[in-house]
Amino acid sequence: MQLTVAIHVERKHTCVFEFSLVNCSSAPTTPLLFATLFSQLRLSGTTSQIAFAPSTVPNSPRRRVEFSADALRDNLRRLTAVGSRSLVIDLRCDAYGYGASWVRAAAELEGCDRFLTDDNPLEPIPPTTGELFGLSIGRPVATLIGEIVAVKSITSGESVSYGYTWTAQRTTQLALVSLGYADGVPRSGSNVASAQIGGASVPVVGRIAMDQLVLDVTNCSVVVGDNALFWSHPDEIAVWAGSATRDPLSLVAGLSWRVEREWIAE
Amino acid sequence: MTLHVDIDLSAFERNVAKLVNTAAPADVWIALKSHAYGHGMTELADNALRAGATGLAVLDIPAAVSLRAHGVTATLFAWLHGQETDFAEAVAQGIDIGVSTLDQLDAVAEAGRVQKVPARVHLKVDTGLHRNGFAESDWIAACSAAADHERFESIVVVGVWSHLADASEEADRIALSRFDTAIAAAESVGLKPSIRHIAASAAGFTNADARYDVVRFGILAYGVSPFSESSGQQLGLSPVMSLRSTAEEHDEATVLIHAGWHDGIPQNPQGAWVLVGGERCTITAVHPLFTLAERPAGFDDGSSVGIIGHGGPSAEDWASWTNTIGDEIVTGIPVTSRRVFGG
Repeated sequence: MQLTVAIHVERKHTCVFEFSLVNCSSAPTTPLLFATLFSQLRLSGTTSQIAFAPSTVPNSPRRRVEFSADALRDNLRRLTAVGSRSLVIDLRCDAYGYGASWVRAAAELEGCDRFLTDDNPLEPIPPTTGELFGLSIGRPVATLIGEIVAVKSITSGESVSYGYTWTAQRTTQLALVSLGYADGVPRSGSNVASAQIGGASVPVVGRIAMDQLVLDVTNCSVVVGDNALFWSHPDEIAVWAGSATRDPLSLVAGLSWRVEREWIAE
Repeated sequence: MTLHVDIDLSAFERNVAKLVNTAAPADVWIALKSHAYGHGMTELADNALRAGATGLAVLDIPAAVSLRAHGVTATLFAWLHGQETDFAEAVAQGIDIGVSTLDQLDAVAEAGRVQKVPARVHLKVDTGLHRNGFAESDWIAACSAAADHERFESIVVVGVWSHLADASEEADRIALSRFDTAIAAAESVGLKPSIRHIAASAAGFTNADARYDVVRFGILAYGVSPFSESSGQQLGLSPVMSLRSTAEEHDEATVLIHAGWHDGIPQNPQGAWVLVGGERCTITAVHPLFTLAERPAGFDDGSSVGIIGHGGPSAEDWASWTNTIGDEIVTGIPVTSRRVFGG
């Protein structure tokens, strides 16, 4: 089942909020998902879970984050098996961009009833929060997706992106991806972080720009229109978080309005 | 609101007017991509045009269509496209389209044919940055294909363009030479691009040879410098975005500021300070919802905190404390923090 709700809010300009529930066929959970959907709407002024776009035109090029309900459930079950009812679920910062209503609903299904909200800004982040979202161990709940908008070959000695900080040592196939630091992809990942394409790890080469970044795809087969996946492996997440210079929770929390959000449940 | 984001429209207009003056006789387009570098795209469009810009560079077609819907009639330039980008809408709305591949060229021409309006095309040549743009080896074929489409009036090639890498003066000189070669090649197959553009803020501000017909100014219009050796204010520009919050006592040694990394305050800044009640106070920790700083003498609860501007540090200061550029600082302020437009 796919559901898209578009709501037009007349303010300075029209805003459209869209939700998609993909492959959501399980009858018992559907009303719950609807309930969380509409509780989310009332929070629209402050939440970051809602895809925000200043026009009704489809998002193109593609910039999307997919949240796996299965991964969240698996992580919850692992955490509740260890700590059961003592587990505190941190819903602050809209559950760090994962969507407080969605995360609360999933946690309640697993019997959790202790939550931290923005009313408690001073409470330390429970150490299980990163595991809840699969940022250190467990299954990563979020996968950031960018569209490959160009593929080109360069020869040895040619350089890539601003400042020419990376130079090819051999003939190299490059893929240009429609994500940059304005989308919330940290610029500190330039020349050190990597993405996944078709199961292969591919390095970021050159400086990450505001709206674009470049991957070295010499060792994999890609065509324009393919997806590049980010933050789908804990090892890669650590590098994107600047090797502990920033909290991994801030990655999804920092995704911009331009990135569509989508929860996927089987 | 815990973080107050103020956008100074007068400062923005002054900056644009200065850049228009600097670039003359070249025209100026202002880059309003990425929500106007985090400032507010639809809100700043009219101000950019009133201050003398003749066009707006908005990255992608959804953003351009949104500005047309807002009533902007000036040139709108969009150049980053996906496989599912709707060129028909762009052609119908008279949007200037940057084209980097033969597939895009064919798709844009098809849109022009169906709409019975020639699509306004800017062919992009890759002069060394190796992001978008036709490779030099593919350039003549691209120009010839475009000339064929022009004969059927499905497109008109109004521009040839590129991006500079800002790597060094020598690298830029080589790129400009490649750009000249590409323009000559385009003209040799009968194209008549009247809008030649390659420079953004850095080269547009400092290098008259890079200005051609249009300079696409981005970060400088927001009063933030692209140069490590000088701030926007040292260049005679005014910061457009400022951030402020309030503080309360945390303990004997520290104060708590009601804005954190979830509000876009950069994490782990090295040697950072903010202005608390008129005094520079070193930041000791940045948490999701709050920031801690050293407590100034004679502190009063509720004191105002200058985080960017308001006597506090600049976006460039934050960039140097976190090893990045001012662009990442200002685009990192989430849209969920309400902008207040004034000045």
